[in-house]
Amino acid sequence: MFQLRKDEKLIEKALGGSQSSWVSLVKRYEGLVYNYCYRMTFNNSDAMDLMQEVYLAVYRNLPAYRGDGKFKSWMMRIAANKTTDFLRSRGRNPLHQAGDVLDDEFHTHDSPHSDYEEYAENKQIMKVLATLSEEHRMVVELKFFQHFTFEEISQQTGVAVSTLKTRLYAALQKLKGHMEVQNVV
Amino acid sequence: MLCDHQVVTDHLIDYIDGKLSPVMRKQVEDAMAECPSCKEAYLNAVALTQTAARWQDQPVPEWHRTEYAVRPRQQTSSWLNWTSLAASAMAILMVVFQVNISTSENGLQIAFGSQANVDAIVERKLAEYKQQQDTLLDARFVAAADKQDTARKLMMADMLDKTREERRDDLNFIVTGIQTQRFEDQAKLDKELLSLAQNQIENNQYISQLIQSANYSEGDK
Ligand SMILES: [Zn+2]
Repeated sequence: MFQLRKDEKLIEKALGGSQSSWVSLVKRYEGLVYNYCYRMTFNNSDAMDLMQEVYLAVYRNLPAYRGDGKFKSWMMRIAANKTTDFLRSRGRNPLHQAGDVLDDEFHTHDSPHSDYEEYAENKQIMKVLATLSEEHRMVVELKFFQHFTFEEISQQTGVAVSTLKTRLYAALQKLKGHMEVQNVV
Repeated sequence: MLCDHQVVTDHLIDYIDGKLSPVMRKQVEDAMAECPSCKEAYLNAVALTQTAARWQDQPVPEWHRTEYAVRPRQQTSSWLNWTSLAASAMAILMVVFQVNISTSENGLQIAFGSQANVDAIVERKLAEYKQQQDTLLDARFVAAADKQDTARKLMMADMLDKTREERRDDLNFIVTGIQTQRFEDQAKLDKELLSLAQNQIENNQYISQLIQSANYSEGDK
């Protein structure tokens, strides 16, 4: 509740022209958005591009934010839209064919060695996610990583709850054989 | 009995979260006991929950968080409180004639940067178009008329900026027309301004956001 109120306050100030309030608001959620983008694009630089697109859209649409719901949920609706657009346009780009994205990712990451160890787990997780279609990955992402309710996911994606449930069931079926490796760990 | 997976599809997550009634829980468990597919969906969902919990949040690389964040221009007067300014025709006219509007004890004052020779006509035009646009947009904006929030101020500032950039050529053309024709061809000018205004209303995303915002305000009541 406190967090909610603080979001509203920052938004109000940002709309009034306070850059520091805007930066505070961005910083509060950018980790969440960035990691979301990362899991959806499998690629650091794409995640960065997508995250910036999301925040540009958030900034532009901020005046239309009603303030009567959770800002996070509203923001993630924009993120879902931008992600769909992004993946669609990347799909048309021959430089970004599915399958290439996961390789070399962690070799180009300029983080210290300890980080590499830490994120090795993430690479395993992304390999599991990579077996899913974008539609399936989106619902898995929003349900299992973001922990939104089906109603919230429906609002964010514009997809009916019943369809989301069917997609999730299908996604869980697709994970057949891929989860076993994870189970052992 | 052949399973259509519907029970598990509908209730799996609530089952895992322990949110089902005993009756529903039993139904889900029965389905999983009889259907290998549903059983596997359940096992994968549990595994996926554990998998997701193992994700290590990666730090966000440094980036410029305010690069695109255009700050609203500082306004000392309260001219933005004029609801009908939302009308795009007004925004255009303001750009064309460099209108300065301020409120004082005498009420609303309108001043022009140049074009002194057309002041009278323009003033009448402003009133006319204000009326026109009021009729057009009042239905949508009246609900928000008394709710002068910062959101709309920012949007107006944005809209004026954008209008200025996008319509400069159009506007120059019209200004030239005004100067040379001296409103001899009133009907043609009317048409141009009106179509420009309508075009703006249809195409300007800021206008639609404004409308959205107004609708939201209405819904809040
Ligand atoms: Zn079944």
